[in-house]
Amino acid sequence: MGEIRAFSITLWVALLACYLISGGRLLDWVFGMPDIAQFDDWLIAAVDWADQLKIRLGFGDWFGALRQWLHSILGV
Amino acid sequence: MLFPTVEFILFFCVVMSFVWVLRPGVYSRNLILLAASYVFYGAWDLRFLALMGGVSLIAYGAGRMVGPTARYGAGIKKIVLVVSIAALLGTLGIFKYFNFFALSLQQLLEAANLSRDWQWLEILLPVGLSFYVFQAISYIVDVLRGDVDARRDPVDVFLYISFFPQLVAGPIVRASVFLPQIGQITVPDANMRARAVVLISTGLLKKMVIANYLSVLLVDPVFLLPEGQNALTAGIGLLGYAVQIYCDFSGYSDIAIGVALLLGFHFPANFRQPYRADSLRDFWQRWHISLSSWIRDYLYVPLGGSYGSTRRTAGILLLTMTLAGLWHGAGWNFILWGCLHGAALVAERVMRGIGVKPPQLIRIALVLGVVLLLWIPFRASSIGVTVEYLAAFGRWESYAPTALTPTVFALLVAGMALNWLPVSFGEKLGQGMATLPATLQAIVLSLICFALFAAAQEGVAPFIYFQF
Repeated sequence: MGEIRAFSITLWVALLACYLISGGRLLDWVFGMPDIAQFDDWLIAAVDWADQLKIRLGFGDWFGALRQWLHSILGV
Repeated sequence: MLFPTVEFILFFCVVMSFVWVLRPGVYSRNLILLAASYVFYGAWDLRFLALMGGVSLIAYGAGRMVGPTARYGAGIKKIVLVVSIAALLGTLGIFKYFNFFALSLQQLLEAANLSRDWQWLEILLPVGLSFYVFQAISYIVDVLRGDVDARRDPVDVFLYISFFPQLVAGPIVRASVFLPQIGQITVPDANMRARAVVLISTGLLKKMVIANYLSVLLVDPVFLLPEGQNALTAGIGLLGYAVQIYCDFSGYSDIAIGVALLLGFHFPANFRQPYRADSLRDFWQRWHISLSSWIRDYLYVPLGGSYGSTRRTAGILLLTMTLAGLWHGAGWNFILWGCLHGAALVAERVMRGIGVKPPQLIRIALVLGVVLLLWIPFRASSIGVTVEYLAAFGRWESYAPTALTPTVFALLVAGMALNWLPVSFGEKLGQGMATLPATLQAIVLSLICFALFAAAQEGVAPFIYFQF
């Protein structure tokens, strides 16, 4: 049981790491979500705050850079 | 909610945390998975939930009444069986086939100069309906046959019908395979996790990179304008579709099996190198195995199978495959596809009967040729487009804009290589992955997902089999 818990927790940490290096994609995604009344505004504000913090900490859009590089290799 | 999306990744991480971090008991785990499955399905359309609940209720109720230990006579059990299966097939018929048959009837009446201003209902096809209706039927029949016990607890049956990894496009898991697994908690060990990482990674590669790019760069343009193609581009387009549908559907199955493994459930394989089959019969034992075996066990064999005369067997094969074609989609092109597969299977039986058996390589090439050719009506939007596409094979002079670019060539080779790779290759990859600690396995999975999401095109292309 311990190992699968470690596996699950690592997935969450990896997800956070992916968020840190993926630019403003989470905010785009949250904007694209269906409206859930007030919760929507709260969520967008939270993600926007986190995105600003990310920028201040110096995290760039490495996902975008990787995408550009891979697409140039693939020729698409 | 599609597998290769941020939504699904978040959803799955939440479900995994509930199941493995909170450590619920068996019953609580089942309730969590049931709730998660309904959230997953409701994300498409909340109205679909009532339909899935209704189908599950029919299966549960019928199962309680037809089991060997139920206190009803054989006559009552037979009536319950017939009524419940009719209700399930009727549901499928209304949602999936009403528009098709209504339109066909309208066209027939118009052809006979009986045209009227017909008003038809526009019925929405709930995603995955064909799959979970078949699971419900298999539960009722298996209970009647005594292969599984009728479940007292509705949660068991509702979870069997709705379990989210296989809900919308299979594999169609038998009750006798699934139900014993929900009575216990199987914690995924290093081998299960490793297999899951390999399956999810290859599934995403097949779908997000190979199938999606082939669709956009080659298949869609060729099938959009078949009259503008020559024999060469039509052939390349057809090969592209064969690789696309294999990578699309087997990719989905791989992800589904991998996701289920991480929740502690074993699903049977759904594809086994289909394009290296050396007979059509062999092909159907390698392609969408869970559907082929379902059709064999619940349709072909009950109709008489291959126990009667040659002519009777041929008729049953034709009927079975035509119905299999209709299951894939409400359109004459799907019926034609199924019927032609049935006819080819009959021809193969006849040839085997008179002792015609070419060398294996020739058999593989012949089967591949037939399967490829029959993908035309499957992919074409109508019989008319099928005919136009076939006509392209007779043209050698016309210029077609779709070219075999290096990218398309690489995708075709990669897709075919994934089909031809021996099963032992995946097993060896899994064995290597199993030696890694759990945290490293999760990091490898995350890195691969990250890279594949980056390599994929913007937006999400739905899986081909979702429409079925």
